[in-house]
Amino acid sequence: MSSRLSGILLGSFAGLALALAAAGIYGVMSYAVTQRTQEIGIRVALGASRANIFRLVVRDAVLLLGVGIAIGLVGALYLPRFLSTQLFQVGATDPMIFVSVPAILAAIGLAASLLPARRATSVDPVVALRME
Amino acid sequence: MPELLIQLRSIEKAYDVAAGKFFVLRRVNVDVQPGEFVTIMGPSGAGKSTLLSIIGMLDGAWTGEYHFLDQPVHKMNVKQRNELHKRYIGFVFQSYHLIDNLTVFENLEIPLSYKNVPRSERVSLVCDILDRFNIVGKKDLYPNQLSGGQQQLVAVARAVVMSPRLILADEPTGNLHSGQGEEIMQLFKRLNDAGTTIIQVTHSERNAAYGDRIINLKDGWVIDETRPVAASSGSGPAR
Repeated sequence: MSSRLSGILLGSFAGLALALAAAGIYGVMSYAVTQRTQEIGIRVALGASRANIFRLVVRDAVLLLGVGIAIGLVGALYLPRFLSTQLFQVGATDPMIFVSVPAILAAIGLAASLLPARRATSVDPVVALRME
Repeated sequence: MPELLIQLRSIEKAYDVAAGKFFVLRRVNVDVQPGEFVTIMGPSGAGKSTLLSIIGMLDGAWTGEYHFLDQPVHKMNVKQRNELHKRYIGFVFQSYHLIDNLTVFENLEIPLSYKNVPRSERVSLVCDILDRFNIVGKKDLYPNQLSGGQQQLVAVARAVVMSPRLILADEPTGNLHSGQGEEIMQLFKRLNDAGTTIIQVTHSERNAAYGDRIINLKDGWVIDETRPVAASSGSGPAR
């Protein structure tokens, strides 16, 4: 297999992995908001503003992203040495990669959590509190 | 004449249905003075809880005029209503509505955190309230480790911790057995004696007897106002 072809393949798989990660985070956050609908209603009844609720959901996403990125970084430090023969013009522990990839992932993760967070702010407390 | 706490004029709430409009509340006029203990009664579906949600500013989809301490709630946006609500109003619900994954202490802290009370002051206010309600020993427990009566006690404490002018209670003893229910009602009575205005929704004549007057609702209309019948000694359930 030519190195050009394997490069394209690896690149597209990486892109696919990124898209899946974004979809996954969106799904998880969406689910979390649905699970917490009643809690959100209670918090609104206790005086939470829309901004408070928004922050509550985004804070969870940031925590989740933090843990995910930390695990990913540890993996990325150890695993690429088995791949190093495939790497071209980039080291197995290139600092540039170690900064930019987590930053891109964090940005995508945050963006994926904004929609569920917005949805959380529009929870009707009257309906949420009636749920048992 | 002293300032009214609540003045409702021609409050209406309706849902659009295929055949036109379905009214949950119709031309409701209610005045509440500071320091009153008011009971809202009526059959299921009469609009009691809806009226409580409107008074508590959780429900903003209604027409009419609502003045709270002379401030026009009907002209306010969500943010302004939220400010008023978190400053003056505490809620108590039938099913307690404590947050399951937070301890008693953390549950009591929530309303204060939304009022931007600094952390150190929050801790001392929560400690005061734990002491006042005799639940210091329970502060690190989670709601599911408490009995129903204890959970409702914590829920009342949570409503009281930010010193509200008004407490709204929606069937607060509905899930409790009679002894626990009575304790909660006596607690409300003491809070009322200390100056807090209380509006409760209940089906129980006995609970209504703790209040000053009863607003009777039916099919969304206020049909009349009555005085509670004095509680008979010891007979009948508390719900």
